[in-house]
Amino acid sequence: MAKNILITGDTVTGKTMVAIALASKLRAEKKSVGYFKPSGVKSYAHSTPDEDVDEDAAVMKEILGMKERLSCICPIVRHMSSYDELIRVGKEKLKQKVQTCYAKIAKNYDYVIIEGEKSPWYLLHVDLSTLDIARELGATVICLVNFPDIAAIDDILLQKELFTRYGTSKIGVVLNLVPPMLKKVVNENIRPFLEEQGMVFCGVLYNNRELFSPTVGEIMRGLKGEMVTGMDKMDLLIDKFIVGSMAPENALKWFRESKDKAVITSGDRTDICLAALETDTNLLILTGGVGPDIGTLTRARELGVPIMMTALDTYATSQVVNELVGTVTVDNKEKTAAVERIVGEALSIEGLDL
Amino acid sequence: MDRQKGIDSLFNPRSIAVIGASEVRGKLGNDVMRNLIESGYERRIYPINPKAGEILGHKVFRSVKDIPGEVDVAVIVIPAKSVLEAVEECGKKGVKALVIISAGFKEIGHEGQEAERMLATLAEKYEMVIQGPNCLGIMNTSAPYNASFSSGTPSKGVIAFASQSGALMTGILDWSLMERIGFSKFVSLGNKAHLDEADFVEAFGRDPDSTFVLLYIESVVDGHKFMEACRKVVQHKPIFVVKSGVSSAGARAASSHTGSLAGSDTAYDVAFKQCGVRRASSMASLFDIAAVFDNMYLPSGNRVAIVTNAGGPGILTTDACEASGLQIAQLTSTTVEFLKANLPPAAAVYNPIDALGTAQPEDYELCIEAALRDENVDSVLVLLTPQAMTKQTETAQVIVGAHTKYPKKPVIAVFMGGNSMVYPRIVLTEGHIPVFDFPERAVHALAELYKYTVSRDSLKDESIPRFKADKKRVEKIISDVRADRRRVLLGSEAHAIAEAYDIPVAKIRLATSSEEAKVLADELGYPVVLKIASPDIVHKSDIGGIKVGLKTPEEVEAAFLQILDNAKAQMPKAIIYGVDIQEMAERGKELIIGCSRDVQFGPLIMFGAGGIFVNYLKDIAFRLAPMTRSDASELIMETKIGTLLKGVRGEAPSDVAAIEDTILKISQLVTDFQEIVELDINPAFAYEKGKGVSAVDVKITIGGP
Repeated sequence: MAKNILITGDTVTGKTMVAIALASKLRAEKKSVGYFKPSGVKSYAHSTPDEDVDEDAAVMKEILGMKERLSCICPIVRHMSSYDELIRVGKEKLKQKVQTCYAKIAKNYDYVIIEGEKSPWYLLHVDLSTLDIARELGATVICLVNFPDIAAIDDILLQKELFTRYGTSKIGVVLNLVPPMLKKVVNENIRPFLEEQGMVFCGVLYNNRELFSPTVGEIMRGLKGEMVTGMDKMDLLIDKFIVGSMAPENALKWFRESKDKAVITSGDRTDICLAALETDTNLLILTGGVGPDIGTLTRARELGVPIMMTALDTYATSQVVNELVGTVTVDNKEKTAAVERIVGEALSIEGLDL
Repeated sequence: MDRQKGIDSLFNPRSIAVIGASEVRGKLGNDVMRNLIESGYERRIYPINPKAGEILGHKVFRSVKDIPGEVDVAVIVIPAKSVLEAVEECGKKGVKALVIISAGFKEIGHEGQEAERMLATLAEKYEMVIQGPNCLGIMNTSAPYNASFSSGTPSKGVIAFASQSGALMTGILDWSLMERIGFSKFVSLGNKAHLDEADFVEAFGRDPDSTFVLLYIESVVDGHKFMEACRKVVQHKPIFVVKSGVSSAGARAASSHTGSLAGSDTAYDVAFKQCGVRRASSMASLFDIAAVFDNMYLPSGNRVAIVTNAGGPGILTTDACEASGLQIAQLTSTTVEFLKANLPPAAAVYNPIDALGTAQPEDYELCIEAALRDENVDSVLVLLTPQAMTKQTETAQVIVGAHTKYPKKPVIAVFMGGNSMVYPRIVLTEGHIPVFDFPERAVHALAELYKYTVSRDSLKDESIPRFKADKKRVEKIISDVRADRRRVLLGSEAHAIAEAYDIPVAKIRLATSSEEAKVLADELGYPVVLKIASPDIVHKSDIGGIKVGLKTPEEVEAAFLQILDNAKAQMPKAIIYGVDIQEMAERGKELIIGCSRDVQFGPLIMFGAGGIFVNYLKDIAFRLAPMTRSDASELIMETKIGTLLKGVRGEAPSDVAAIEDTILKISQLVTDFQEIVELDINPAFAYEKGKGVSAVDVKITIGGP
C-alpha cells in the first residue's frame, strides 16, 4: 500500500516545487515515488486535441518518469470557461473516476505525492476538495503557507482547523516567501508555537528570487518576442528587470547593482545596450520592434548574452514582465535542479514519520 | 614584442610592398601606388598582384614571398576575406610593419571582430606591428612617403597627427595645404586591432621630426597605457587632443561608430588633465593651436601686449585675453616713455597700445619691437583694421621683420577684413606669422599654448600615500556578500569595510526585531538613527525609511515599526534584511565623496558638496585613483565648498587635512579592491580643524562574478 503525502496550500507554484523537492529526497532514499493530482486546470500549451492536460501533472510525469497516462495522473481537468461542468457530471461519477485512477497509480509506488488544487476548498461543491481527498486517502498533509509577515500565522491555524475537522491527523507546515529578516523570529517563536499546536514543522523557504525567476523562454512567450541571438540560452533565469531609459552616464552605475538581470530598452540606444552588456546582464530585451545595431550585436555574441526583440513598447513590456512568475517547466533542467537543491535543503520531513 | 621598434620601421622603411596594387585608375590599389610614387619615396616599391607585369614603372610580384631581399613595410589593400592569408605570408617573409587599409572588419560585425583578433595574434606571432585595419593609411613627410589613398600629401612640418577617423583626415589634409600648415607624420588609426593611440603617442614622442602632437580620438584602447605614454611625452612635446562623444547623443554616435562602450567623458577629461594632455574643444581650435605652434616658440608666461590701430578690437581682444586666463602685460616705464615719445599724443600707450587709425607701417614697427623688447611682455598680438590710409601689405612685412629680429616671443596677427586682407595674409603666412580673422580665435590659441606649459610643469613625481588597512576583513565581507548572491552591500557591511580602511565612520548595527533594536541602541548610545536595510531600496528618505534623532528606547521601537510599515507600503517587493541602528553624528559641513569605476580609466573619485540635493547642486570635481596628496588637495579646491571649508564669514576652518586623508584612504581602498565598482559616502560631515571627519552613510556596490 502506497503512503500518501498530500501537498496543499494557496500558492501559485510553491506546491509543485515542494513536490519536486520531496520526490527527490524520497528517491535519494531509494523509494519509488509517484504523483497524483485529483483535479487540475487545462493548460492550453500542454493539451492536445485528444487529451486535456494539467501543467503540473505534465511536469511531474516527466520528472518522475511515470508511465501512466496523463488522464490517469490528473483525471479531472477543468476548463476555465465552464462554470457548472462538474455538477453536470455528478459527484458519484467524479468520485469513482478519482478512486479508479488513484488505485492504478498507487499500486506501482512506495509513495504517492498528491497535489491539491490552488485552494484546499476548491471542489467542495462536489465533495472533491483537498480536504475530502485527504480524508479519503488517509494522507499525511503538508501545508504550504505564504508567510510574508507574522499575520500569516492565522492562515496556518485556519488550515489546521480545516484539515483537523475533516479528519486528518498528521499536518506538516512549510513556510514560504519568508523575508530574511524573520529568520530569528521563525526559529525562536513561530516554530515552537506551531509545534505546541500539534503541527509538524517541515521547513522554511526564505525569500528566494531564484525560485520564482522566469526564464528567457518564459519571457519570450509572455512578450511574444523573438530571439535575435542566444537561442541556446532559453533556460537562463532572470532575477530582475530594469528599464534602460536613463542618461548614459547613470546607466552603468544603476546596472551594476543587479546581476542576472534583463535590461529593457530600445534598439537604437546603443549606449544603454553596451552598458548593460558590460554589467552581468542575462538578457537584453529590445522594444518597439527596433533591433540592435552591429556594435551591440557583435558584443552580445562575444559575451554570449541573448537578445530578444518584441513589438510591444517599453511600458507594455515592463507591465508584462512584472507579472511574470517563473514556474518549473518540463524542459528546464536548470530550474529543476535549482528547486531540488534550494527547496530540498529547506525541507525536513522526519517529523512526519513517513 | 617591442612595438616601438616596429613603428620605427613603419616610419622609415627601406622598402614598401603594396599588396593589392593595381594599374587600373580609380582602384584603391592604384591610388596608393600613385601616392607612394608622387610623394617622392626614393627607396624600393614592390607592387604585389596575382597578375604579373609592371605597375606605374615598377615590377610586379605575385606574392611577398617572391620579393628578393627584405621588405620593411607592406600596405594591404585587398578585400577583407583575403587579408588574413596575406598577413600570414608577410609574417613568414619577415615584414616588420603592416598598414591594412582594407575595410570589412570589426565595423561589420562578429566575424570581422574575430578576424581582428586573428590579426593581433598573427602580429604577436611574427613580431610584426599592424596599423588599421580600415584606415586611410600613413604619411611621413620626412622620409618622405605617402602610403594611403588620400588626395594629396601634406607639406612638411613638425606636427605629428593621429586620427581615429580617416575621413576627417582627408578634410584636414586638404585644408592644411591651403593654410600652409605642415605635418611630420599623418597617421590614420583605423580599427586599432593592434597598434593603438598610445603606441603612436610614444612613437611621436621619440620622433626627432615631430615637436607637436595632435590627436583626434573617439575612444581609447587602454586607458592606463595611454596615460603613461602621454605623461612621458608631454614633458618635452605638447599633446593636444580632440575627443568626440561629449554629449549624450554624441556618445551614442561614438558607441555606434566604435562598437564599444563609451567611457564617461568626465573620466576622459580628468585623465587628460592628470597626464598633461590639453583638450581642444573643437577641430577648428585644434588647428588654430597647431598654426600658432608651428611657427612660434612657446610663451614663457601669460602676459600679452596688444598693438592695434583701432580701440574697439583692442577692447575685444583684452576681454578675450582675460577670459582665457591671459594677463594684459603692464609695460615697463621705459617702453611707455619710448611710445609716448614716438607716437601721436592721442595714441594710447598703456596696453592695449593703440597707434590710432592713422597708424603707418613704421608706427606698427616701433610699437611691436618695443613690446617684444619689454621684459614684462611674453607675447604680442597685432590687430589691424583696414582704414583708408592703412597699408596692410607693408604692415604685414613689418610684422614678419619684427619677428625675425626678436624670434623668442610669439607674435600673432589678427587682420580683420576680407578681400583687402587676402594678399597681406599670404605675406604673413609665407613669413611664418600665424594670422586670424578675429581676435578671439587668436587669443584662444595663444592661451592654450600657455596652458600647456602650465600643465606640463605641474606634473609632479609624487608618491602615493598608504595607510594601514585590514584587507582580510574586507575580503571576508565581500565574499559573504557574494555568497548571498548580492551586489549591493547592506549599510552595516559597507560601514565595516570603511572601518577596515581606517575611514572614520558612524557605528552601525543591523536589528531584525524591535527588541534587538532597543538593545543595540542602548549599546551604541543615544541619540540614534534608524534606516531600513534593503539592497532594493536606494532612496531611503524618500519612502520614510530613515528616522533620526531617536532619544529613548520607546522612540526606537516606534520608529522601527514605522519604518517597516513604510517600506512594506511603498516597496512591497523589496527584500528586507532588517533595520540598521546607527549612532548619530553631529552635523558638520555636508560633503560627498564617491567613486565610480570607469571602464577605461579605472576608479574615478568624486568630491563635493553633499546632501540630498547633490545631483542638483552639482558642486563636484573629479580625479582618477590612485591619487597623491596634491591630487587630493587640488580636488577639494576645485569645488565651491572647498572654499567654504577654508572658513568664511567668521566660521572656523574645517579639518581639510582629515578630508584629504579620507579621500586618500578611499583611493587606496578602490585601488586595492577592483571588485568595488561603486562607492558613495553621502554625507560625510567635516568638522572644525582638529576634529576630523565622519562618514555617515556609506554605500558600496561590487562587481561580478
